[in-house]
Amino acid sequence: MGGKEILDTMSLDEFLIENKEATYLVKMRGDAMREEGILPGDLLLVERGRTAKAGDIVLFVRNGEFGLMRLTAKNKKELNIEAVVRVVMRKY
Amino acid sequence: MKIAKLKTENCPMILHVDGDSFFASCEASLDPSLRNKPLVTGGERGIASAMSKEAKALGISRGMPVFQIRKLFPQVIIRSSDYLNYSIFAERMYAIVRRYSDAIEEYSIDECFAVLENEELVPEIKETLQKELGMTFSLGLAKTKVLAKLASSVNKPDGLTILKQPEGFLKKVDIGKVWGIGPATAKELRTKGIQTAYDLSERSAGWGRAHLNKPTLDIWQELRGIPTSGIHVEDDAHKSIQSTETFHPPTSDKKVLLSELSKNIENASVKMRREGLLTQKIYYFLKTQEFRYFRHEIKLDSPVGIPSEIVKRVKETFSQIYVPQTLYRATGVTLADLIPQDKAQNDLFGEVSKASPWKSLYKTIEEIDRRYGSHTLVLGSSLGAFKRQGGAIHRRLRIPYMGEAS
Repeated sequence: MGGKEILDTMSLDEFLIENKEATYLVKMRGDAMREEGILPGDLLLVERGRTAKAGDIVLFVRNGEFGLMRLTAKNKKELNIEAVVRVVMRKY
Repeated sequence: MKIAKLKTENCPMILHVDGDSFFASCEASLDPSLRNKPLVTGGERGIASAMSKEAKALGISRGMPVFQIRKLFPQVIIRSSDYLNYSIFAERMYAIVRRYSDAIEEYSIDECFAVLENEELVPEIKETLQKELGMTFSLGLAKTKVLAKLASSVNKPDGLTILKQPEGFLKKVDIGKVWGIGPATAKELRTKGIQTAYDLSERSAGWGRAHLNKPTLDIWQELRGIPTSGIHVEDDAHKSIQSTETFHPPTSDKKVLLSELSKNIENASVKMRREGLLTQKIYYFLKTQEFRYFRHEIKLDSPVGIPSEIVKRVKETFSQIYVPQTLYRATGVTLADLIPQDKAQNDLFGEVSKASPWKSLYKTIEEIDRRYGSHTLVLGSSLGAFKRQGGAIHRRLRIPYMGEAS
């Protein structure tokens, strides 16, 4: 009847979120990431505790505020990294 | 990170995990503008409920009125409590500790106990909690809960204390600092020559039985490294069905609380019936404004599937945990020891003589719910709770919101 096959499927939560306890929501403000495809108002899922590598989009802290940036080998050492962006969401 | 480590042995130990300035730390975790600053939560109640390290350094303590804090320390940031967020962080803390232990007790919103086989995991647990939740915890590992709680309290904040041979440690702990020994008991014990936790632990069993009441005798035993109670483990999802709800505003009204419990029971029963199960054990709790849980367990003589029967048993035992004039903010019910209906010795509803009219009644209710939406029909005892819910709950995502980033 509907039964057991449905156990092979996963929810959207399971699909998007790898580590539930370490995942947080952030909203994009402004245009700084437009070229990366992140628009103002977009919702992001970010993961704390994940080792950031060059190429990742990271959430960092500067002057008591959150910022977003694509990580390079160069800026990696300068940034106070808070979390790594895992998902970008936009509802229409 | 401060680590205090004493001698070595091999046996399962009890870990106590304690959030440092938990509510304030939750706020700072989500808002970087609050970090490393004097911060106080409790603005909406007018009294400080938690203070950051920097606020404590100014001399601010729990219970201090907010207007006084504003006057004396205008630089202090005051925030209203966001209990929903604190609960989410608490659930995350328990879930992280659960990665390392099967037996954990969610003691309060910022503390838990766990049975730990391998003490080498403790630093990793501490670091994971800090990395993933963005706040520090103080951990204590020892043979018993009382010792573990003492261990975690002694190196706060951001402390890690493993207590194998507690003697030297206990000699430095004032008797009033022991968990479960209040100022009155401490005063009395001091008159009997007991100044430190060690002094108490050193007394003989005979002396204990003659001079101590049961709770203090239990503490005496735990200080000596012998557990008196186990870890109270919540049943996992497969073995029980739970329904809990927080309501606004908190209330001390017995009728309101019973109607909330009745609603919890109906919700859980629907889930249980859908799975084709019956329950043999019921847990229910009342949760106070201070996030303390008061639980009661009901063991059933025969499996039950009918919510009204469960409501009846809860009503009968309610006064065993309900304290009048206490403000409660949530109730919950867990239906445990679940067995499939066909395994039950009696028929579908477990009670042969009364079952038949109930069977067809519930089949009709389920049909109406299917056609008109769940909870179209509810027990009269739950009505108050469903009415209250109708009004105002605006639901947000269960993922903590860190605000905006640019």
